[in-house]
Amino acid sequence: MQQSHLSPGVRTRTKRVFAVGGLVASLALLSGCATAGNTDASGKPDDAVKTSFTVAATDPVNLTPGNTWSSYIESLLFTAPMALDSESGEPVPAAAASVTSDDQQTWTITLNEGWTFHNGEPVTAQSFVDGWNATALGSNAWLQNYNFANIEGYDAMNPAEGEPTATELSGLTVVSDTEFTVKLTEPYGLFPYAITSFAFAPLPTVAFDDPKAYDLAPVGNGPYSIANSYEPNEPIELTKYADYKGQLGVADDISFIMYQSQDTAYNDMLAGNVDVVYPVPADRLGDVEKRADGRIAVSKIPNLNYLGYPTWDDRFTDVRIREAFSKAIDREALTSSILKGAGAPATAIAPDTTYGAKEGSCEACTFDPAGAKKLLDEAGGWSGPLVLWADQYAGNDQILQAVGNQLRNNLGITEVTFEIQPWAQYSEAIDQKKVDGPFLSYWGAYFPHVAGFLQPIVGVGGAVNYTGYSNDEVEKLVAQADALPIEEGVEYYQQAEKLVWQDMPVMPLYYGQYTAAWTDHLESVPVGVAGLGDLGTVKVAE
Amino acid sequence: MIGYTVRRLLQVIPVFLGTTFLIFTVVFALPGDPIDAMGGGRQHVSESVKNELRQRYNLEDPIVVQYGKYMVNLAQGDLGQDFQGREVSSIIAKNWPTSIALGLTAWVIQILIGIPLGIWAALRRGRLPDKFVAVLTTLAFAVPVFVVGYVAQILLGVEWGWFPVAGVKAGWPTAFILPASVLAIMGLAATARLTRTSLIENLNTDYVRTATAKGISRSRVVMNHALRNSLIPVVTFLGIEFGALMGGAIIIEGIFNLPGLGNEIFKAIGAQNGPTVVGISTLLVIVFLLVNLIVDLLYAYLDPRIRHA
Amino acid sequence: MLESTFDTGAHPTTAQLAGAASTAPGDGPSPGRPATGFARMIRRPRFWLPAGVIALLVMISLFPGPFASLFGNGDPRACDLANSGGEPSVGHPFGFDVQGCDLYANVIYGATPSITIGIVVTVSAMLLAIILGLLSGYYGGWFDTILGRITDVFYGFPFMVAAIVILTAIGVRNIATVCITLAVFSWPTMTRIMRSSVMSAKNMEYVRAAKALGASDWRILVIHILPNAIAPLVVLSSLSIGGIIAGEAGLTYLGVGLQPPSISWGLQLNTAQSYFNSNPHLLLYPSLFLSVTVLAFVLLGDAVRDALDPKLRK
Repeated sequence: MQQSHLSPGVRTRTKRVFAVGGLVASLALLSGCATAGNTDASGKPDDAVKTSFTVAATDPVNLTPGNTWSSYIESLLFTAPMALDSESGEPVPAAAASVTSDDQQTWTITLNEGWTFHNGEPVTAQSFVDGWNATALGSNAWLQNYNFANIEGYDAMNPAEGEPTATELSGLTVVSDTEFTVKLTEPYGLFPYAITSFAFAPLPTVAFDDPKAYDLAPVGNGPYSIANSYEPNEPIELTKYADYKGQLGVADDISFIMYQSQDTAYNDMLAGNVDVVYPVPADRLGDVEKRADGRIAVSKIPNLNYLGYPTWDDRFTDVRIREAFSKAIDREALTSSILKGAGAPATAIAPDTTYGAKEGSCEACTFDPAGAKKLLDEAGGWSGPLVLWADQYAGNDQILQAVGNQLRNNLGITEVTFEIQPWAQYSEAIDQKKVDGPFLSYWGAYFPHVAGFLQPIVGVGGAVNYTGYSNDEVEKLVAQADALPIEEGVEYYQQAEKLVWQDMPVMPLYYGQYTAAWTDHLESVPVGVAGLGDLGTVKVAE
Repeated sequence: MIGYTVRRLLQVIPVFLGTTFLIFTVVFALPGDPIDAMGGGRQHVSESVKNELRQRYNLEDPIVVQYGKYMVNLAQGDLGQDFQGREVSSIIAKNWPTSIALGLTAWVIQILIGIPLGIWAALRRGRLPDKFVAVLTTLAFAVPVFVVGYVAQILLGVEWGWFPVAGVKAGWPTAFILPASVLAIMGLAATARLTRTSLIENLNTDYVRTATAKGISRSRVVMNHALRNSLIPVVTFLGIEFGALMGGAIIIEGIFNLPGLGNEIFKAIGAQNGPTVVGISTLLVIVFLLVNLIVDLLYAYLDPRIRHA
Repeated sequence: MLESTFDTGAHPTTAQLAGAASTAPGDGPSPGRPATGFARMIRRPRFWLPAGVIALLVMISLFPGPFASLFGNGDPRACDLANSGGEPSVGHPFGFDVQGCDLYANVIYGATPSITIGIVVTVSAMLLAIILGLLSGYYGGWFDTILGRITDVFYGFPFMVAAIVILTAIGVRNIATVCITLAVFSWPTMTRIMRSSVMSAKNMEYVRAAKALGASDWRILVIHILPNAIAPLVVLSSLSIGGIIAGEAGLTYLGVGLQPPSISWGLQLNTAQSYFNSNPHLLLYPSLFLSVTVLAFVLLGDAVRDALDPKLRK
């Protein structure tokens, strides 16, 4: 069974790296790729030669699955109930034998028999319930807490004020050692997608005996176990777990080497010091095609970079203005020049590698300068200065300038200025509705399904619905779709997306596209909807 | 001398408190919620988790109370935890050795190259070597360090492969030679110029002239008399430079991906990770004040006039 | 006396100390006699060459338009993504930046903030240093003590860290805020220099004589002490302009200085490093202009120092 784990951490962290760090560069003269400097870690001479490889990573800080954003390491240490198929992006059973529901509200999770944690402790339904409860408890302050918000009993564990009144999710019921049920607050047909995240991993009892020690060297239920103990910025070494009941890992050892900058990681890959680097910095995309020909792949991580309109600002209440702005942007030119190909023009709410996404569903997302000018004139034109907003994420300044130049050239808005602030100030300005112009936003969906974009970006109470958009019709359609199984719900989500584009609350710009590259020490590396796919399947070249 | 030492020591205290309080105030007065800054806008964190974290880090107290709590902890050697739950003291323990290795290497380069260059220029005053050193040192001041660093990395590291491109994996000294050389450039130029002017001044003094007139050989005059005296300001400069170099170098560590204090504090400022910023800054202030104190005392010892100033 | 700023060269003391014997630690100030040195100085090429370059740069920064239009494409904001990263061509001697704007026009317009910041920061810090240095050097007492401790506090600050934090805290990044930040860290060095040269000037015999004759404090300070005590400060200031300019570029390069739509060399370098592999020329021109500018100021400072410091004259 192909496994690949998708998690928010993966996508969100790897966004638009073309300028991250950006300090290291190389000219096209570096002598060719040396073979990787893997160490054959066999301590005993009579052992067969062990296979191992290294992966460039960023420091995870924490390793308890509910409290980290470090998806690749977690996905090897732990196996969630479901996993995303790296190619199709559909959820497939992993630690679970089946995940079923009649009403999409109460879900029955049946586990595979005979699985054990790395320390030999059996993986039971209770292990999952324990892990989920710990993460869902607000006073633990674990980062992945939000994943559990739609399970019954979450509110009591995460009150708006004061201490939690419960320490367990009332919606979780252990039926037997291998079966438990989950009751959601509302029907949600996409639940199988949601539980592909490592946030839904089980925890063994040792995790609760000494949480601090556990966080440094977690005992998991995944195909690899941790061989050393976590130290900041030091490599994390994983070794194959021989008693794993899913698909066994191929390589004996996998090490994650921590980098502060993606450029350094890339240079180290060229020098053979690390085997896998993802993503390759945008500035090096031309370079990597020459240097690592046949050893690169572009991922299909579902994400959207877009401009939100400040609906609270009178100048943006007319939908024609919002459409005119959108039509005035040449997304092709933007992605090929500024992003150097590390992004594709966005013409819908989600890229077409996403289940249910329809390329071109946003009609005003097509470049049409004449049409844009006409629309703007019909709406009364534009007078005065325009401010474009963004947070200080690497590369945002260039995106904003390119957008500003396009609006200047195509709509004749001469006075364009920028507000580029640290995230905390930026989000505060949005919350307090001080933002007075289109503002750059990013969303990395938790799973490749169009609903993973709709609700967060334009749904009421959505995680990144900064524009405050709310449309009863859209809400109704989404609720209707949520109550249906995956295959049946999709058309209602699509109808909802169509309605959204009639209002144009946001302007899609581009989908980030990230490239993985590896050394000839490896045969191939799976790359797909989760960025890097299942590293357990990577074969070391002879 | 003892009186001066005590006076000088007492002066350090208000300066230390003033400096740390200023840093503390500025860092914690940063607009925006540091807990909101945690995910950097790329990660979703639930409200209940954010509220819990705000409580854990006393973010709801007034600044003065926060500062008081911080100082009490600091007096017990506790620098607190950053917003990710890491001990600030362990971050420093982890990162400081890299900065020290970088700084020390740069410092040694400054001494080994700067002083001889300065002597050479002074002894050949007005002639070719002097002009050569003048041009070299002027260029060192003129070209911004990040341009030098970047170009050096591309040429020497990437293109010619003489040095590791980045990182510390190659260990000391291999991994540190290139970044330390770039870091040393300015101080090296300053050392050379200072040595030069100071030596020229001393060569023009009466006692050197007298010694020369007495028939003592030029090299002995230079070595025994002029050089020893003219190195006093150079030693002072190098002392303070030492303190400055110990604190890490944001740009150089960034360019060469060295996991030192400079890199760490720059990241922490961007993430509004107050405890880390304050912790590292406090350390830098302490190092700076200590080095300054030592240099001042040393100077007072070398030059008695200062004590009574 | 120095700060941990060799990382950026942002601090004036860096350049100042480099051979400025009059301002070296422990070396007493040497009030000079400006008039004679000055006349001699302006005749020498090592003065008028950098001075000429600076004059040209100041002209460019005051009137960037005509200079930018030399090749017919003077609008730095006329940008077309189709030209992104384009090679030099007729009318575009430096080629295009990533936004598809004429790089030559942008580099020319980039002179304005650099020169403005260098001069404004230096002049304002100098004025503050003159006032505070005169008062604390002449009167001494509690004012001197408190001022001494305050300058100590500013010394104790790691400059880069503090500047980054302050600019992050202010949130608004324009020429004014960058100026204020740099000035905050420039005045203490200058004040110390001024103070110590005032202290030695006030003990000079003609000052004592003036005092004995009953001249007012004000008169003594302005007529007698200031002209005799200002030389070291002038030397330091002229040397520090280059350091300030490099400091601004360094902060902007780190992403905490100026922001678009400002046009500055620091910003251009900041962008260039992200695109270095695909467009290396983006790094070349702004760093060339920046280096020449800093170089010109450093050379001028050197010339001024030599002219004003009698000890260094033969």
